[in-house]
Amino acid sequence: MRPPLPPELMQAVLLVTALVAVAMLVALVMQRALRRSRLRRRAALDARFRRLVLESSVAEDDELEGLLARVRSLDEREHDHIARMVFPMLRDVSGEAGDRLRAIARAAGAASGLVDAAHHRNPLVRADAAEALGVLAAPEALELLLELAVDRDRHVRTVAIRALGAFDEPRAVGRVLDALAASSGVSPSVAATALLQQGAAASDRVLDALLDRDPGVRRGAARVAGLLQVPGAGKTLALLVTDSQESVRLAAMQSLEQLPVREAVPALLAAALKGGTEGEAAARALISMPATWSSGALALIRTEAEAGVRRAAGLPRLGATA
Amino acid sequence: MTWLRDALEVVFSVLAWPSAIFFLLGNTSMLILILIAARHFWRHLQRSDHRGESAMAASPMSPGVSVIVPAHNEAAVILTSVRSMLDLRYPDHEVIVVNDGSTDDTAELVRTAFSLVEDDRDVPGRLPALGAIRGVWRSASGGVPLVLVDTQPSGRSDSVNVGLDLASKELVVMVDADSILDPDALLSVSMPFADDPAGVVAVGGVVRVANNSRILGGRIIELRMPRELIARIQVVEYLRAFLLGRTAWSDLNALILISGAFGMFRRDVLIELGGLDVDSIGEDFELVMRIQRWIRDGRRDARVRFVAEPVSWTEAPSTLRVLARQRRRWHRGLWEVLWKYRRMLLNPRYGRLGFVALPYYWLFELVAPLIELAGIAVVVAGLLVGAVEPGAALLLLLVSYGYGTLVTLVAILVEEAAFHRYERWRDLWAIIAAVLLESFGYRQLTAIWRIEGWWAGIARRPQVWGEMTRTGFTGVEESVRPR
Repeated sequence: MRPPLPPELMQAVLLVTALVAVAMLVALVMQRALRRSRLRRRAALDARFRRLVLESSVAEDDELEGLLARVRSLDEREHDHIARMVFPMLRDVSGEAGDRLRAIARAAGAASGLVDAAHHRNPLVRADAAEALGVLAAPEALELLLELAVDRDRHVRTVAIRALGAFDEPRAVGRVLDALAASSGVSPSVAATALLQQGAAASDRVLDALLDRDPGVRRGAARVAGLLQVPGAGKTLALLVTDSQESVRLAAMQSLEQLPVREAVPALLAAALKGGTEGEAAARALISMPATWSSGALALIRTEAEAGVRRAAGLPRLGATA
Repeated sequence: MTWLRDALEVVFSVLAWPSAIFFLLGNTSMLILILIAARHFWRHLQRSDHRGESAMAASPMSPGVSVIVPAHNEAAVILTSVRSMLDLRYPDHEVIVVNDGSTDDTAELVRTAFSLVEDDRDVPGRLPALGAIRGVWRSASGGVPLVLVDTQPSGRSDSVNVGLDLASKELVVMVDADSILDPDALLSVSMPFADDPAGVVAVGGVVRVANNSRILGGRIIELRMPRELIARIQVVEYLRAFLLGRTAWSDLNALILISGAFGMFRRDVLIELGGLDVDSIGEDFELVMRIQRWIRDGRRDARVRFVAEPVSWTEAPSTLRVLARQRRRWHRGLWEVLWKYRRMLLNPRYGRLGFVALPYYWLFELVAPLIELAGIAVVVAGLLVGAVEPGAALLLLLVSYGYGTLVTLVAILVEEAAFHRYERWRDLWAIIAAVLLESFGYRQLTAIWRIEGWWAGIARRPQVWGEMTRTGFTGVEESVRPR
């Protein structure tokens, strides 16, 4: 009995398969060898410049210029490496050391070309530019970031909105609030975190945003209002407990834990008695309120709410000994 | 014997072409999945610098996560495990240990080590529990986000359901007590939920093999290839099918399987769906199928996603006996779930799920071992009675397995380019050797066990779980395993 294909053809297929397999093995080994060699080069540069970067980050004013001059005198490859070292550090360092690190990055030429990069055809280059603009806080950063926050690429918009968290100008706050809308394509947690980072500067706008027509904006604003302790937001949050959107109601209940208002008690009690996830959130909001406001509601929850809500309210089960 | 020879000639001539096409299609499908995954990794890695994990780790906006840890006789590892889970880098998570009727002092160890006090609050009871709850404990001050539940023995699925019932966060993740988690596991896997809170309902994470790796304080500090060949081949299988295959299915929006060892879900959805099916052998597969049906039947704008970063590490079976038991159970679970949801197959209502993913799982996961073994049996019998030319048979086998090996090499190449977690040269050689040796004995053995599991499912034999005998890192925690 003969095989389904002529032996010559099968031999040819086998030969091609073997050749491709060998080529892939070679590619595998080459890939690893190249990567290790690149890592070794980077480690050597790290070792060479670590001291310079760390010294610069804690240098006195009169020493700094000399250290920056040393950075400026390096070649392009070394500049790239220093920028690559400093950028991750800037994500975790703030204050004076952060300012110093930014100065080092600028001395290494990280700020040059950002305007061009922000308008580059490749969205990855634009995203890199947005990230750099945020961490370097360059003078031209705000205008460019406002532009990149409405970029045609969703990923670029997300990076730009995250970077705008470092700016507390009204236009930056407005752009971040716009990004809370579902249609923005920006991750709601990224936009809300940026808003939170903008802090008190965002308070007034957050208060207005609580009544925005877009549920995404209302939800984000509701969540941020509590964390920022926005003055005067409590009463609006109480209204949002009965919002048409579940996610907004939940965000409002969460924020009422940090910003309790008496007006919210009836709506929270009603939600608690309905049960489910919202009931649990309502119960948690109620127990964060002064006992004089919530004792009546908690008494009703004890007798009428479902077990999950009673648990969320921290109430002992009936018959349990204290 | 002439009649046998003639019969085998007929069988061979009838089966040769369909078998060849089947092998070609199976391997080509896998190759396509690997290429889709490669494209995903390429884009993902290009953007990895901008993912903002540090920002998420510090943000109070990140969704809360309840980590549910079912534990049965895990006294040897439970404290290290709980500590490492409490130490995960995440702004808002709690750990719920469900002691599933352990006969050792698993519960007592946790209670004492964390000074837990009895929790006198109600148990919600939203999900039916088989094992009666004997007690719930929590941190006295509330400072440690840890809950301990002690239940009568009722199995892993029921324990997870008990944990789910007591969970208080928006998201839940189920992990085994002896799993080792990456410090950023929760950050990585919760990212799709944070990006699309209304749409994403479940996210699978990558589970990888940690045999022979260096482990300290419940963390992998040096990843190494296992010493045993069968465990090494499983590393290759995990990379090909779990990492690359599932990444591709996720990209195709047709992911139907998330590993039970690490999956994150929206708690409200799991409660609505009734939690894990305690009667199912493939409970993780069954749950994701139920979620996918719930999405499609309700015409919901919801998705199941997969995250390719390594998040969880497990010990793969290192003996044939344990591997056989695992594969029989997996295949039986596969059959039972595919059969249970057979109405979704080729059903237009389920889109790619019904027309691409499920046919793939039926053909190239469920039926494949049967066809492979049948093909080998016919060729061997044909050789014995002289119905098949030895040279031709050898060529056919070499071409079939050669193509399969090539596909696996592509998978290894993609992994090396994207994650390259095995840093030592000797580990690379070990992976390559495992790829080349997989087709010689291992594939055929696993095919036999898979058919046995399938048959046990069809015959509805009672499932015997047995102990998952672990020999690896659980016993040598805090140390380097001897070579």
